[in-house]
Amino acid sequence: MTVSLDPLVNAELDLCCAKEFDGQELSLVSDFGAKVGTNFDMAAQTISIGMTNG
Amino acid sequence: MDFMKLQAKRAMTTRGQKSCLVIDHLVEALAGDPSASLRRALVLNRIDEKPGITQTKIMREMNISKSAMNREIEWLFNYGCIIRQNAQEDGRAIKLETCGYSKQALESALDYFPKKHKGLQNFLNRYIKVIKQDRPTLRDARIIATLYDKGEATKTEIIDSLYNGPATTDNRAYNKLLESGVIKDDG
Repeated sequence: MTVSLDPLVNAELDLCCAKEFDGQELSLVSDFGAKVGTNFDMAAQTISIGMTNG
Repeated sequence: MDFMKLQAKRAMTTRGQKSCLVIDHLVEALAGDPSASLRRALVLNRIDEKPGITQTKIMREMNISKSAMNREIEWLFNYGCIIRQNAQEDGRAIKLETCGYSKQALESALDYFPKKHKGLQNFLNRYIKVIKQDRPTLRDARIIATLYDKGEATKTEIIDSLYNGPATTDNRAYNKLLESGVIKDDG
């Protein structure tokens, strides 16, 4: 039996490590096309709005 | 370390591997104790960043209570990570500096961060945020980093990647992360 990281945790570490180790500013892009940056509260809000709008 | 060696060190490993190595260096810097908190690592990092900084200043910056801060400084001093000196301008103020094996191991961790102390600070704060516990330890962080590096792993592989501590302590840390949902059973 294997375990893995919660995907959000994995994404947070990716953003942090890319920035702090390699100086790369990654960002998340939601399925609804909006660029949501690194703020996960904003990401959740964007997804929620997208779902409401169908 | 010269510039070429430093570049090679940064380039030769993946981000996951770097995360694991950074945490291993921090364990080394904190007397080989994986139960040391990430906050303690932050305090050590801050002292190294600003040699001569006072306990009061760190306490204010990091919003740590006086008693908690006293405990951190006592621990760091007792394990030979820092030295304390009375400030000449104010006899009551005590200036702090990293020293010895701890400074050296911390330097090895800092090699991975182009922004040095600021980079390590951000790295530690991110781990504190994702672990979602009151007092996350370097052991917790290493479990997370191992999974970040490998993608998926068995419990045995994760425990083996830790620091040969008591099995009950390692198991407790693993189970707590599983219960809190930070790591997921792939079932």
